[in-house]
Amino acid sequence: MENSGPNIDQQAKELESLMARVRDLRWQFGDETYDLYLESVYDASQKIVSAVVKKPGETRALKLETKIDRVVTSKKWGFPIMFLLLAAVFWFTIVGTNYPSQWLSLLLVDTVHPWLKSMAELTELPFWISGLLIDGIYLTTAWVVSVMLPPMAIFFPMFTLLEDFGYLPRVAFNLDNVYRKVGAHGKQALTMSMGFGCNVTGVIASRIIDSPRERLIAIITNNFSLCNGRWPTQILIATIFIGSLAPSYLGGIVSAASVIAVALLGIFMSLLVSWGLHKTVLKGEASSFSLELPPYRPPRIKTILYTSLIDRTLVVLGRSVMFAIPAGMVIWLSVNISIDGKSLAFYLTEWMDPVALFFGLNGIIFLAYIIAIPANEIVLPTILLLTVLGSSVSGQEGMTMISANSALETADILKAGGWTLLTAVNLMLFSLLHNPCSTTIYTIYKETKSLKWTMYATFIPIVLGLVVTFLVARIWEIFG
Amino acid sequence: MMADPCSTCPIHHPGNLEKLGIDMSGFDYIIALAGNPNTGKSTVFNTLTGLHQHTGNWPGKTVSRAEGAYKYREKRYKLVDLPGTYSLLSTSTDEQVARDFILFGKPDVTVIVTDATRLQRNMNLVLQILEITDRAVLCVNLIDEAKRHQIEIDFRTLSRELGIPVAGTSAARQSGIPELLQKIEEVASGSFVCKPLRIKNKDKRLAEAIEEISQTLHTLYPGLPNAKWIALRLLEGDESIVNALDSGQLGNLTL
Amino acid sequence: MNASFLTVTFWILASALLLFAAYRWWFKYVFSRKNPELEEKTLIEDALKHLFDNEYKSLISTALSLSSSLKISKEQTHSLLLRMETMNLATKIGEDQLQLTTEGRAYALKVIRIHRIWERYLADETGYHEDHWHNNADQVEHKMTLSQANEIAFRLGDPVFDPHGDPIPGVDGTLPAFEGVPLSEVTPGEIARIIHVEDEPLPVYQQLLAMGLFPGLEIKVLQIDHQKISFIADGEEKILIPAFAGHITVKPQPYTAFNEQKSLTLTDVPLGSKAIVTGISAVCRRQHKRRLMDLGVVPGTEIEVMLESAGKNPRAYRMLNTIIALRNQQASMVLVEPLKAS
Repeated sequence: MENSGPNIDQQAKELESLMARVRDLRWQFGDETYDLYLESVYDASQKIVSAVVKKPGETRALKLETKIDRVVTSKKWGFPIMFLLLAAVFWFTIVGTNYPSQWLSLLLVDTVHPWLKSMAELTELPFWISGLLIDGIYLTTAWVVSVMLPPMAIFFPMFTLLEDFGYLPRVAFNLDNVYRKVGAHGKQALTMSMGFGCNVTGVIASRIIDSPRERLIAIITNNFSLCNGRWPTQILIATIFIGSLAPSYLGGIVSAASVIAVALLGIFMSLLVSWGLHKTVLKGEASSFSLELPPYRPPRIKTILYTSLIDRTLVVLGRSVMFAIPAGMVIWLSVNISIDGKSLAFYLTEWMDPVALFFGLNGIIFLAYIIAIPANEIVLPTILLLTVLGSSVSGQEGMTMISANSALETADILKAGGWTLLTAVNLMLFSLLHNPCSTTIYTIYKETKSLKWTMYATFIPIVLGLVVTFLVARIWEIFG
Repeated sequence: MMADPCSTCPIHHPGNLEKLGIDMSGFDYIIALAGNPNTGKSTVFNTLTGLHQHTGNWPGKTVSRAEGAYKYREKRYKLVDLPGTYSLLSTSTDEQVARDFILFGKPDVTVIVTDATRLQRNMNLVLQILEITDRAVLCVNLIDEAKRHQIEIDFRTLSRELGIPVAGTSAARQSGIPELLQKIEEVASGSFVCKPLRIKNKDKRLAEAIEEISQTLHTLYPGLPNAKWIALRLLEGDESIVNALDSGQLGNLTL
Repeated sequence: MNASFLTVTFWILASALLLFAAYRWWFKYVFSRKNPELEEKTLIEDALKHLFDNEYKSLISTALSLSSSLKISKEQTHSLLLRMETMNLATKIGEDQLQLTTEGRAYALKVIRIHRIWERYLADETGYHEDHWHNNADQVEHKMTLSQANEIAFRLGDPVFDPHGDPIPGVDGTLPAFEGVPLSEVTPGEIARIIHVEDEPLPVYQQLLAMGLFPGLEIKVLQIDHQKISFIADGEEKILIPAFAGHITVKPQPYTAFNEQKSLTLTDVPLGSKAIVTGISAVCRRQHKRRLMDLGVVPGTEIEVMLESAGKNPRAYRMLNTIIALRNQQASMVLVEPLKAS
């Protein structure tokens, strides 16, 4: 290990002259070194492989794969199949969510909550401790779990199934034409699909795109994929306000269709914004696009269940619960700290109401979105809690009233709070088009290492959301 | 304490493997897991460590490095799952991470995971890795799929040609894992000495240039194990190699 | 109700417009404010580049050539030269000839290194079109420090050529001797490879780009006279006026076998057919070329066209038993020889 002094000097000098020689050679070879070397490598591997591998011609398995590929990427069937699969996944999620959500809410909100309250009374806990812990933190968490767990537990396994089978790259193949036209990378279809699960995963998955320009576009537009945190809001509001417009036997399909429409609007918006970025701040030509279409593999049920339920569902749920706890505290405090007999939340919503109404929303929704910046999934509980408060004077009562929770009663609560069909539609739109949750924002910053692009990713959707809701409100006014 | 009854079992006894998850304390060997994207590398990793790295049927799914450990016949192995790459020569971050780990991380064994149905495509990376390291095991994964496609692979000849042990596995179905563990152990403990195949350059001018530089490298750093590859990297303009030579990271490797 | 809403709408729109205008104005103000120091630095560095360029090509620089190159008046040139002489960057020899001092040459090489590395970066890492590279680099070269440029070079794998085919000076300021001859001086019948396409002035460069001429392209010169130069490139006969041909530098390649036919590319192969790769077009940018080669696109590989997406772009190809989708832009850079269906 030990080198004597002069030896090192000598070595450094020789290294320097070696480097000079290397540079001379490099000027001779130019960029050809790589080509020449790689050709030798391919040559060698060709020789080895032809010596050890015996391959039949087209086997049946291979022919079948080719056939499947021809169908799922064909002009005629490619897009319909894609749309049907997407719709099927969403529809199953929406329809399948209904009952488990009610059971969970029956258990966590209707049974455990009163029990906790009575325990608190028995042990004579001070009003503010039991309020903060049980009505604030526990109730919000219970809400988040009962509203979020079922759709995720249904959506993630189905999505993982498609992923494991090998269908996602075919989606990217089909959609690349569109992405190329808006100046984005074809693999953005993959990151967008990941975003339907969770935008954080979508943003991280954008690493598969090599070109920095196109990767930024993929990261900034990922928020337009309606993530799992926002599904519950969409589903509940669609069921209450839109599904109920149709005859009851069509209710499920109509509400599912409206949620799918919102998701499709999200895809459209992501393309639109990609195009806008490509034309303005992220100008440039499409970079190289090469995508491997892997062979179809029979799905492995055990792995899929593990990945989707433990790795995805629980991780995402865990994160939401982490954020539900402080949010629950904030909600409870804003409801229970009063000045001149009126709560803090009341002042805030009063103050924001005129502006919010102008966008076809209301002050409560605005306030809820501010409280819910850490996690989208707590938007709905916050809205409900604050709305209930509006209709009753005491925050204490309001908090407990929410326990009576079924779609019908929720509808009554909201309608009593002055909600109209316009409010519902605009809430669905605003839920799609607003800033990403704080975890996503943080991830975007980590991935881009740039405050500027993080700001773009945060504010583009919010501005779009305000513009869209504003326009819808105006159009509504003209025709309504 | 009783003596472990498994220590005398034939290798096919899976009880020799103890999955240690993320407990990487006091390991005896470092094993690097390299390979093309979508060859089931992460599945091999999960099978050995008992961890649950995301796997998905699209290339590039694993975007970061994962680490885990397992115990096999009283030895503890630390397993590092490198990002899947097609090559080791580009400037992309993935390839740099993989390249640097194999070169500077000094793994005791590099396990190269390949897809049995596309061996020719994967062989490109295999040969490149064999240029860098002397201690490698080839894991030909997805042999069940190869069977489905009626592809036959002569593992014995393959092993002889490459100069490293070859194990055929189907990690998702847990088959072939004992052989793989055995081969890793053989190389790690030194009972199998690899004689990896080194590529002959077809282009005469390039071959001469590489020869010239590697000669100088040899006189500068006697016993440098992969002088030819370093010469190629120098011609490719890889400055991190220059820095490594400068700082003695590579030169002292052999002292 | 309706009226009041309309009023509010109007006001919101109006204020948004106003805000936008203010923002644009502020943006312009901040970024276009004149900076006398930077202006002088730019002028000096541009002058150094001119002097160096002529020296490199064994041409003589004069005050006149300088003033026409920098598009400045005689007086401005005069004071610029005085300034450069006091800074010990350039000297006058004899009547009018200008020469770089050792310091001046080192300075010029530094600026050129920054310029060419930045062009390489734009070509490899960003999606900017060819005609943006030069102008952008012309601005960046005066603002970027050498160590910043070295850092970029490190990430790019220390490139030795810029995307126009010019060598990039080494960190220590070395540059290989000038090679090549202007296209206008090649003897008819000779085969040569384009090693440099001059990117100034822009209209000429754009014209040359539009003709599909780029470094690495091999050509066979047919005829040269004082009116036109004709040559074969990529299977097509092309004609240039001598003034334009002077913007192209070539290196004779006497031993290369020249393909006079237009080579087919992967996009020419119909769905379901097979072809053998013969090479990758020289127009393909370095990173893209590497990507393709990593996927198996090397001479000798057999490729079958497997799938076509709805717009026939991208298409998917089977190569080395893997299906890989490529956009037509990439596929058109893969030169192939179609296989007859058996």
